[in-house]
Amino acid sequence: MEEKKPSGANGFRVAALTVLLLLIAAGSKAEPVARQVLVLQSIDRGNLVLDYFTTNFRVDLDQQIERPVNFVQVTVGPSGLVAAPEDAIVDFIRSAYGELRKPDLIVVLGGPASVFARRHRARLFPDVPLLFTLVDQRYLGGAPLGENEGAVVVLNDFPRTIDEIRQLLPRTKQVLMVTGSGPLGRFWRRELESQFRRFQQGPTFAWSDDLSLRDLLRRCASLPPDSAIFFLTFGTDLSGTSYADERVLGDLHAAANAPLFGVQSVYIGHGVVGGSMMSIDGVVRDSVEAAVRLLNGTSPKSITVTPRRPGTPTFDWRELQRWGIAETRLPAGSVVRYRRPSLWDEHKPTVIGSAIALVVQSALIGGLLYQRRARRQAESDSRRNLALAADASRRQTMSALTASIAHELGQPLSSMIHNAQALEAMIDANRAPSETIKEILGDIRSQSVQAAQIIERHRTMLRSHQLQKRPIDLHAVVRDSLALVAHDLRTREIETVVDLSPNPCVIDGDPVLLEQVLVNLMMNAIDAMADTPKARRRLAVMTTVRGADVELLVRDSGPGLPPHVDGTVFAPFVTTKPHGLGIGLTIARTIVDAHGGTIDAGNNADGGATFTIVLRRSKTASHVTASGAA
Amino acid sequence: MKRPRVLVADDHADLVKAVCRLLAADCDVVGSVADGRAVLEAAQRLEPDAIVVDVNLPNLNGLEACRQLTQRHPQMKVIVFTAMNDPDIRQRSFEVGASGFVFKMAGDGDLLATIKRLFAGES
Repeated sequence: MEEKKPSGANGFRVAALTVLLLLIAAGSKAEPVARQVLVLQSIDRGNLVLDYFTTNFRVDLDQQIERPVNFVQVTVGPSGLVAAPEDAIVDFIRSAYGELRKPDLIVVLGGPASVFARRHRARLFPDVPLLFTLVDQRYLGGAPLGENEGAVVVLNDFPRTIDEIRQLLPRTKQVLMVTGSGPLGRFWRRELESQFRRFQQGPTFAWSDDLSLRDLLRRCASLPPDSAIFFLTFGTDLSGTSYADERVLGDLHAAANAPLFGVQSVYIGHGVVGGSMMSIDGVVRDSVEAAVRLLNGTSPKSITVTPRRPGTPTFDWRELQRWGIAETRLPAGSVVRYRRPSLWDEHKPTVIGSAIALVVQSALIGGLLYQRRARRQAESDSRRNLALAADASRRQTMSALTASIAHELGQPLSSMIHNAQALEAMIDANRAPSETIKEILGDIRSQSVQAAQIIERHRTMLRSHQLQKRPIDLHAVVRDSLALVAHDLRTREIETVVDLSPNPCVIDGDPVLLEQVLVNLMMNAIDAMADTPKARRRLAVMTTVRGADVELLVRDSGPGLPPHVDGTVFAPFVTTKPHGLGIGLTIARTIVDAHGGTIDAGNNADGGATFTIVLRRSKTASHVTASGAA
Repeated sequence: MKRPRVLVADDHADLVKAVCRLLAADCDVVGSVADGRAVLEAAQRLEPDAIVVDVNLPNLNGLEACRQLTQRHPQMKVIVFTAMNDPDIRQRSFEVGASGFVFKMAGDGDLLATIKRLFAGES
């Protein structure tokens, strides 16, 4: 993929073509008579500095001169008409103007063209003013300017660049100087070897003028650690092949394992880290100003331009990043270019829009989180309040069952007492066979277990309790509830009918709270039947499975719900009892609600009231983890 | 002392069993029932010397049974046997003709002692 520039005879043809085109352009210009400017340049197209200079010099001069300007541009340096004898080149130039005309100004660009112009000045229109430009003062050497000559010179300071490299990369031990193998490169190697003598403590310098481009790239790819590459110029390599700067810089940048430096302002952006830059724009400005004055008749002698030195340190941000060079190491006042635009710079409207959307979303999320927290708090409060109210109600119910508890406990206790007395008497009378003793002791043990279960059942009902749902057998809850009120049913002489569904009635529920509901309904039923004739006192508890639900009925044969509580029987503080608080049914409904069920009340057609609870059967539980409340 | 013939009326089978064991040494337990009406029939049929009656009996409570028993069989000694150590019940027991009142949870062998005391003069 090597893209070579034309050289030798090809270069001659290019130069000639350039001349012809420019003359044709001149012929098309209208009056007044155009000014003729002959430009002699050192290197053919491809040199970044010269290309940039010539392009801008011509444009700027054209704009600043009131009359039209015709340019004749001839490359006289090593890559231009190098293969032609220099006299032939001079003849060509002279023939381009013919006998009748001469240029109004000769502009000589760069060191090699300056050498050429000086050598052939006598034949190159000696009475026409000549301006040397874009040339280092040292290249013009000790020879003084001629009578009709002016100069815009630069003073490169390459040792300063070495100092800057060491400031940025203090560990730099070796600098590979890229100069190309042409006369310009050779000149600078000689010049710089002398100037670099002050770096006796390092770094060391290597030179590329004895390398082809391919070898140079190979070498740059495997430089020892702590190396740097300093690109001065290139032009031609050892094989005489001429390469465009842009291509050489691109290849070096891609291949090199060390940072690349260069100090012409036009190199920035082509892979160099940077440094104190020679402003080619500044040289253009100085040169245009001098050319305008010369074309307007000012004597070259009176034109004095201060030699231009490297200016503002300028760096490529991308290269600083690539080589890990902190910006704190840059010289004061440095300019950093090609900084990656921030998100803000690049997508300002999007960023603003996104930020607003983010803020709105955050606010919404915050609001929702707050709402969720508030809801959870409310739910937690509700659960706690339910637990407190249920505890209070349950204890009230249980206190009404005190007589029942005493009676229930009395049975196993009195059995134990009498068994113990019988055993004692048998032992005293020495008529106790061991089999009988064992039998009696076995009875005492089972009766004490029975007593303990009764105590535990009541204690569970009296203990503070929070809703804890699990798969339970609703029929076990019914039986435990009946056991708690059994004494009252018996003493009030109430017939009890229990009709439980043959289907399993497993629900996800809390046995303690559901037992509380049932005991409450049963006690209400017992109370309701206080004035009912004994023969008609009847409490029925029934379960029926209806699809996914189970229906539980508690039916009494009392007087039924009075009209004044119709529809409000579950409201708080509604009661039919002279000493009732009226919270039992409210709590019952709250508990059923917490189970996702419903509770309703109504009067029977044949007298009495029926409370109906509907609960959802458990979908997941295949078996009951524990039964009952105990 | 002649061994008294005793009928026990209580609806708690475990307690009846324990009472029968206790009385076995000094009495003949002629039967046990778990129902207030059944005790009237059994008394008629078995003609016990003493009847131990729980207050909380199904169908006919113990005090009412006591009243009827003492009316029909004045020679029989009825002992009210209850878990309710209540002075009112005690008083009512004697009002309906009971010869004794025993708290079920007294721990010092009250039932046997009461029966022995009631029949001590008949030896």
